[in-house]
Amino acid sequence: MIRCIIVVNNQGKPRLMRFYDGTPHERQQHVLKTVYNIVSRRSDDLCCCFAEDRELFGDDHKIIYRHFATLYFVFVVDSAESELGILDLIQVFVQVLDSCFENVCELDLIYHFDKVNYILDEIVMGGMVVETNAEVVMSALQGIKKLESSQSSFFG
Amino acid sequence: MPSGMKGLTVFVADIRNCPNKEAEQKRVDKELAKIRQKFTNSKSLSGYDRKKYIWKLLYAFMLGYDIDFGHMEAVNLVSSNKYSEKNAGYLACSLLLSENSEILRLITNMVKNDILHGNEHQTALALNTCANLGGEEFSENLFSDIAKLITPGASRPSYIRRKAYVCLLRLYRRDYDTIQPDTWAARLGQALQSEKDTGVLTSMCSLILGVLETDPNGWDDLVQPAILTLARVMGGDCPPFYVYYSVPAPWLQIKLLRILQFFPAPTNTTLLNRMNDILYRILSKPTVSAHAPHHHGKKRTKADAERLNRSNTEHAVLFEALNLIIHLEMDCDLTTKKMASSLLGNFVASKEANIRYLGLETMARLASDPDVLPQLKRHTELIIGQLQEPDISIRRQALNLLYGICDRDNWQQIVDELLEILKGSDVLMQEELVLKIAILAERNAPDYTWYVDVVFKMIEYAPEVVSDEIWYRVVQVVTGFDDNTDNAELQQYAAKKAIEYLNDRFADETMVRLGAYLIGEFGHHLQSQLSTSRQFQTLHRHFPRVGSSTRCILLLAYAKLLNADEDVSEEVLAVLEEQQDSVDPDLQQRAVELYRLCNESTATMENVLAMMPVFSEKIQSNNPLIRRMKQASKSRAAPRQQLEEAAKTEGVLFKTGVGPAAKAEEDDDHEEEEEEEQDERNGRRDEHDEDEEEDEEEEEEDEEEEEEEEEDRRNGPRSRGAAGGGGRGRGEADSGPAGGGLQLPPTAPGDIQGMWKNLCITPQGPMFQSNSLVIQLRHEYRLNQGRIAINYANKSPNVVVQFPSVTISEAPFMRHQASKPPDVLRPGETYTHQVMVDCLQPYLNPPKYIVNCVLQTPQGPPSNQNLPFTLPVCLTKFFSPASLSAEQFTSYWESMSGPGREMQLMGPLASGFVADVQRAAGAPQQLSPQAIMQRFNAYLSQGFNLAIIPLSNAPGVLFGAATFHTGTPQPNDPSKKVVVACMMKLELDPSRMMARLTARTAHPQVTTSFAQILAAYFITPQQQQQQQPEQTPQQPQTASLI
Repeated sequence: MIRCIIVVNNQGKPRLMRFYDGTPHERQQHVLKTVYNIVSRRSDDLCCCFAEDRELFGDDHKIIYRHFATLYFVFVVDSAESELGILDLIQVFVQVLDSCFENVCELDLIYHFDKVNYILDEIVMGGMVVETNAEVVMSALQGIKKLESSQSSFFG
Repeated sequence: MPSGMKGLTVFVADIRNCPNKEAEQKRVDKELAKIRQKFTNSKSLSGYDRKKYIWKLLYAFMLGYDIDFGHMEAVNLVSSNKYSEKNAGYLACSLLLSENSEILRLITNMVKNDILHGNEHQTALALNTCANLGGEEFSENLFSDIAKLITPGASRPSYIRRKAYVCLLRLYRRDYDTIQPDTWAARLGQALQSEKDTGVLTSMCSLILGVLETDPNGWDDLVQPAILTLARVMGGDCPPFYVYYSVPAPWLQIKLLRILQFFPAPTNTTLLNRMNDILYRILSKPTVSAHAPHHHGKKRTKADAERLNRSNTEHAVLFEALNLIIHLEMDCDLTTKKMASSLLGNFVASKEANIRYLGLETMARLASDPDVLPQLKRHTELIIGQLQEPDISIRRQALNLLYGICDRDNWQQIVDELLEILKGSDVLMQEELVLKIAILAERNAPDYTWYVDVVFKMIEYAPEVVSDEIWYRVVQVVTGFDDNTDNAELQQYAAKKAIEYLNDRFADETMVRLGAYLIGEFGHHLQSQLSTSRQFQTLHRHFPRVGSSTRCILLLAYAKLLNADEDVSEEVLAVLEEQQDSVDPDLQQRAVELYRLCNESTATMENVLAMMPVFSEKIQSNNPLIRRMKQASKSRAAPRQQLEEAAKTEGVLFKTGVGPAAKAEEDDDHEEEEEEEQDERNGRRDEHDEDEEEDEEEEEEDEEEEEEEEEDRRNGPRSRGAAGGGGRGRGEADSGPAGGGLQLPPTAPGDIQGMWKNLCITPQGPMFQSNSLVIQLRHEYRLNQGRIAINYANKSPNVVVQFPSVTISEAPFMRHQASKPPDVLRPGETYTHQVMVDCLQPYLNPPKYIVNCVLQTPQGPPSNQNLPFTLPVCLTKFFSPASLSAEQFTSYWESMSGPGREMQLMGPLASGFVADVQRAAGAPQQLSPQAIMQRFNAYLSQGFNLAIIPLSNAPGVLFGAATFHTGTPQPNDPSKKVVVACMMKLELDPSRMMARLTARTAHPQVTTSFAQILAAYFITPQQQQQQQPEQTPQQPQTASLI
């Protein structure tokens, strides 16, 4: 299963964090920092997208990440997940963000913190991958948008 | 695009504009104060405002700020009819509440309602929340409703059914009884074949995999549908939008291939052929490969990215097929297998780092198959080349693989390369290297002199990372095993090597330890070449600059040299005499003992100091280093053999939520440990019985011997030499150096309190970690005395650390004596500060250990740090287990009730402990009562030194007993020390996740300290309720004992 998902920028600022393994809140920032330290030191060109930190996560885990412009998308998963499958999933997540925000950039994630969380919930639930198809996710989001606009009041 | 909530946008923008952390903190605090204020009058708030504030809280929560309010507002939002408000409410519940929160009860009904009666999107939200939170409450109340969503003919949209399957898995993980094969195997098998929606199939497979991870028995009906569905999907029966880079539904294919890895190969040949056919087709499909990695500064083009994604997808299915091939072993077609190994050869040489990494990993697992090992060995050069990669992830995989393919033909090439790499590696990699080199050399060397050479080289190249375990093993191998081989030549060789290396004035301390051991034990083989006196001198020149424990080994070596050759008696006795005045109590004690021994009759001396007897054969085959290598890997393709072995053991074991492979291994370990424990327990009980029969004086002697033995066990081979020669061989119970005690998860580097807490119940661990200074602590105890080694290491490249003062606070309840504290540590230097303690009276808070240090960087002013540590010497360190019989325990227990003698604490299980149970059980959701009780048992016996009394068969109760030792003489008989009997009872209420702890001792201060220390680990602090407080008046910490 997926133990946590972290989107962090090149400076180490979190843009999205979800933990599915019950990591207590007081430890989450530590995980963020450690993971950021690991991925930010790895060269995009020379290194693979997989890393480990046994001290932090124990034996059964992999840190799988992709670096897009100013953001790292990091998934920490156990051995029940396929490594390349997770890389594909990150790609799907980014594709959906890109279609929603038209040329997504870090600012979109910052100012649409709420939407990004919606989108993620359509792809991953409770640490399990629930949808892998960008089009299906998009159509669910369209449905929600329609519903919301029909309910929107004076306050928006 | 605006977020739709202006207030949120402003808040986020403000935070973004904060120049530093302080400003951010200020801004967030201000906002939280405002929201708190708004929420106190929440009736007048509009739904929109409530939603906006909740989002602000969630943003602050992500940034790491503690959000301890707003839970009720989140619950309110859940009941809103507006989608965006409901969504904010549900998400806030998912993030802010834990699965055991009381508040969950409040939303259970709303979740139920949304699932049953909401529109599609409301149901989806409710399912998301249910999956994100899990929890017993949901599991009990919602499972059947969610299961209804996927009943055939329920006609729910596929969007909902997909989520329902994932949700069921989450609830199943909370309660394994919900999905049992007798009803579900047929149902899921049918669904696999009839379901047309690819997304639903994928979720269904996730559920199936989750269930198989826990227990694959009874689900065989799924094999055929899985194979048929896989064939169908590969054949293109998949809607076009699920075709990802020309691969039809890759995620579904991966999951189906994984499901098949949980079962033995089908006995039905048609099915087996079908499976082989599928594998062949996957392997023979051409894959795209990405371009060579780009040079810096050159931008990746969009086409490159496309290519990479495509390659990922194609390889993802391919690697899963390879996993299935590894799992099938002999049942896989040989041609396919050969194809697999040649494909893996290509992967290892691939230009794409990802493919290379996975290629190495997969090849390491294929290496266990003798059919293809010769083929894999052809890639040795290529793999060795990967050890030079800049990426540590790849180097690690390469090392693992080399370990896997190393045998008698290529060991020398591999070990030589690894030794070369060892010189230039970073510490993390060195630790793995050293362990693997040691094992490979011992296993494959044509004779052990090679092995001895290799270990000496390792100590030369990387002395810091060669742990005691590794050189203990050398001692075992050189001493020999009970297999009738004459080891004299090897022993002579090893002693000679030791002399050579110790001729270096600056030989590392590890080298001195091993050298002293080898020369002391086997130096007599060298007498014709090198006089004993010269041997003594070679050793003794290192004496002044090594630590106390190494000096003890040296003294023993001297005594052994003297025993072998009278000529050195003058020199040796002089040293022993001098060390009798040592300030170090250990050294002093050893010197006194050995001095007396050397002046005893020749017969006694010969007996005690003679060569060690050979080790049993069991120790030969049970290399402790290999046990350290074992690592559990959950739900990975387990080779079939392991599966079958696992299947033979009791089915119950599988109910605990760990994958079969991991479980089988763990099980092995348990058995061994249990065996050892049993031996120990039996041993102790025997002695106890004897004690009862004999009169008091003898009893004391016996006790002394027992202590000595105890010490033996802790100290490894060095004192085994001293006591073992006297005809008291302890045979198989002594399987080498003792392991590390209770295993706890590592703490965060900044968490000093957490590290301290861990140290209080483990023999060693970190005490402080920063970028420049790292402090580790190791401690051991015997009765009322303890020895603490505090190791300082300067890890920085350029910071000099000075220590103006290191002080230990004075306390009437404890005497202490310390070696010289550190003075200054330059980059890379280490220093060990020794502290001895002697407990005189009961207490709660141990003495403080205050380190004042100044960090001097090349640039900038020095910074002064005051680190007020507490020594992790809690009261239970001076406990020794008291293995009472059930009857004895009961009668003592009953006599010990009454004021001041009993303290009872109860409350919800501490969250840290719960997390540790889950960690120890290996599954995040695993929290069965059995797992908790097991962990209780481990803490009590290994962490708090209690003997567990086999008193009750009731599942949720544990009894323990120990003796608390002090150094205070008994007033009526000063030759004896005051001891206090301690007993405890720990009960678990699994339905409410509460624990109750009852401590009973004869002394009020011991009672309260004992109870409070234990409770600090098991029970949530604010909620600890003290029962019958009138019975336990708080005593000052220094209360007199009698």
